[in-house]
Amino acid sequence: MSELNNDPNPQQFFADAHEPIARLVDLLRDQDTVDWDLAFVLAHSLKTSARGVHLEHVAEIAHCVELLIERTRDQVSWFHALVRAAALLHSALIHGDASNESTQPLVREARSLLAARASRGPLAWSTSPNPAVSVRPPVDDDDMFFIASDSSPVVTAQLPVDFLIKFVAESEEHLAKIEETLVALDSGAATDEQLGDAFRAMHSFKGNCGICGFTDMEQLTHRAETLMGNYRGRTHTPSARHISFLLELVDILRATLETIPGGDGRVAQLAALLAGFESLDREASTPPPVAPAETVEAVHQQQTPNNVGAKVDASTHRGVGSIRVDTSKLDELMNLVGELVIAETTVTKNPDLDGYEFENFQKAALNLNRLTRALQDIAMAVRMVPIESTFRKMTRLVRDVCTKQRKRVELICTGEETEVDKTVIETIADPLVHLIRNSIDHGIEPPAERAKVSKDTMGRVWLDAKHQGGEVWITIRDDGRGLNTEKILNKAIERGLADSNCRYSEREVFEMIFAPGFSTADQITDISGRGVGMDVVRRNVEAVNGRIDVSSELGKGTTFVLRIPLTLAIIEGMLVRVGRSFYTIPLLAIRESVKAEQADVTTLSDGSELLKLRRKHYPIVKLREFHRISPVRVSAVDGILVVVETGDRLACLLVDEVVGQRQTVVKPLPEYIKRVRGVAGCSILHNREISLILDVEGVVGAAQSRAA
Amino acid sequence: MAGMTAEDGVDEDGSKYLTFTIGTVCYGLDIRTVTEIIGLQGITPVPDVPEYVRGVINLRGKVIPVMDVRARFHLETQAYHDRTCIIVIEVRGASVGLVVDAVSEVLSIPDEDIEPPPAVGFGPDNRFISGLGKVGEEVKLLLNAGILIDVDRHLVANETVAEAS
Repeated sequence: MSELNNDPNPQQFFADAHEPIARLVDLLRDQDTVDWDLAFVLAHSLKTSARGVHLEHVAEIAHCVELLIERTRDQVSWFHALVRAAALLHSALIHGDASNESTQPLVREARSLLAARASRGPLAWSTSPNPAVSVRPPVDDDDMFFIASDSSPVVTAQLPVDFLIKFVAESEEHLAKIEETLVALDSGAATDEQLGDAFRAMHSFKGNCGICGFTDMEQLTHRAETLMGNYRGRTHTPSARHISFLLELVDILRATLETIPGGDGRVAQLAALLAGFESLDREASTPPPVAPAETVEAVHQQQTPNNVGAKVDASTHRGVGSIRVDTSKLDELMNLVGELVIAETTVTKNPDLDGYEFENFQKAALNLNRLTRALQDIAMAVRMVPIESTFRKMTRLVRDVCTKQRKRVELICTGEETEVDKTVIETIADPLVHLIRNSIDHGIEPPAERAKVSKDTMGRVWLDAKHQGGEVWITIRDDGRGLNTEKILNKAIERGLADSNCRYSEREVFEMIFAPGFSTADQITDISGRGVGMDVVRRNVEAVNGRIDVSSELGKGTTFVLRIPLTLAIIEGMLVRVGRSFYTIPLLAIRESVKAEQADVTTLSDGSELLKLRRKHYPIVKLREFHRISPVRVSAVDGILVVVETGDRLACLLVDEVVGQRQTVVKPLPEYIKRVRGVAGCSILHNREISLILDVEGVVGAAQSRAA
Repeated sequence: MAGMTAEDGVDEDGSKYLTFTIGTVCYGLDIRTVTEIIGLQGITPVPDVPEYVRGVINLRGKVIPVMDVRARFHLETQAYHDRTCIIVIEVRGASVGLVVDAVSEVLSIPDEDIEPPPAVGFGPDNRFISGLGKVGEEVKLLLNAGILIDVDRHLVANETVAEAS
């Protein structure tokens, strides 16, 4: 980040710093409504930018602000010190003076704020009574805070990169397990097995940190391990405060892991966190007070009906006998299997054999085919991962948002065992987070409001995944307010995205929420600084060739459906011909094929036609027309009608000829061509020609909306 | 026609260019962008693309889009014949095949023999031309491969309608 700045320009830095520091000071105006995450991010980025232009003193003040933010989050009596530190930072920045003389007194005062006792508060902390931990005023960045124990200097520089990468991957898994258990603990639903697993995870993580020489993380996890040991032994019950603290620790550890390899694994908030552990320890030794209203709230918050405990059984079993594999090797395997399939058909369906009947050959060919198919299935299965882990991450999110917003929401997950290609899982995690956060933020009403409209004060969000015709369908449904078309339309007009003179259908208004620029400014960045907004969500989904649709009922709730193709490299398809072009229709989507008589075809007033089949009528989609293959005009009785099913819609596709069933390798359309309506990719036929893979949902959907 | 691979040719004082003809005009492409030259093969048409994109071909398992350079330059298109071939170029990871009338030869054109493109266009769109290369008495129109295959633009159905008109 700032390291890339070869030509540090302090003046530019000062100019750029005006806005963030003003924002930070503004945030700290009211003790009760501070957005701590944002404050931290602001202070942190000011610190790193200051370092980037070698303004070490300014960076140090920013660092003090950072630390005070962490402390105040936990113990509000630090708030005044924090406000003062922010003011110091403000002075340092606004004057735009890079010289030492002016900033020196500010730095001194900032340091003293950190070391001072809190001005008031039930748990005043002093410089820690624990002799093993001493806090020295920071001198320069490298040893901002150090522990006067015999921790050896970090040796990460000597560890090979892939070792570190493995460490990070494993540690992330451990953290996920720990986080899951903490959330379960919070709602009182943690099983003994979970607690045991989490404790072991913490223990392993600690050990690994030790091996790698990440002493900061080792220390922290050691403290956490002790706490978790207590929970496991059921000698202590964690309060909501414990849980929040530990969850924050998990976040910080995760953030630290993200800097490895490359970073030194130091934890900037180390002293603050250790002090936090101290205060938790002191709290634990006093008899727990009568549970305040919030913890009662917390207990009710999440009850995933697929009881977390029961599911853990399955996952521990899965954990036995597994192996980590580089995804590039999986990709390569997939490619080779694809080539093998083509090669196999080139041999068994070779034109040289035309007209001959070789019995032994046929038998051998059949056997070969059987083996290739089996290999294919495994190669695909290897890449598939149950969506469970992604859904699990959402429980934490729901808890956090609920706590912040003082709402009560139950997250109900179904279809967690649905398997999805690994790349797909990675891409939809962010959109899912945003959609769920949205549901709770804007959809679910606060308990009081819900009671007024006779709804259960506990809001519900349903998260479901299932396979449907070669795709994965992920549904996010809430029973909140629903989308208000009037409000959306007004907002869209306000932002110049809609015309006040036009009349829009309900569907069109719903679609407006996906328009870039629709989100309000304060939603543009979330805690981690990533851009959010429904348009980004849609783009992410479309990046994996998927689509997202929304439907809603005012007062009842909103439903989002993400439809993502299973990244199949090989599909079973029906090869059809339209003109000189060949299309492959995924076999899963086909119900049947018929040849129509004029009597079966009904023409509507707008020219569109319907096929009557066993007393039901299905719309006819003429591919010639759809893709403008000349001659475009064709009669529904010339050719074959392939009845396809997509979701709950059925339609008939008119083609010239059905060539036959083929197993084909899927290749994406070249980047250069981008999206083609109704085409999901292409496949190479055994005669080396190319057929276009039909996106059935796309074709049927587009044709119907055109008719509308 | 056998495939020709790109030579790593950067002379001290210039570059090598693959020259080809469209009608009577001779063009050149920086040899570093050319990955191979193949004979004309079956092109699968793809719907909803600009008129100059003829479709896709299967190149050893890779699906590559094919552009008709005549159409790209808004020239009259001709029937393909036995000298017609496809030059496969690659720019920033994107591979595209170019259908041309005939391929000539690889020439070294030193930088000092290259003039900047004229301000006023003549023949094909000016923006495709990166310079005029003088080889003896002749002038070769040197093409900018990146602009030719529009690497930075997105081909979308709506856009193509506008462009084609």
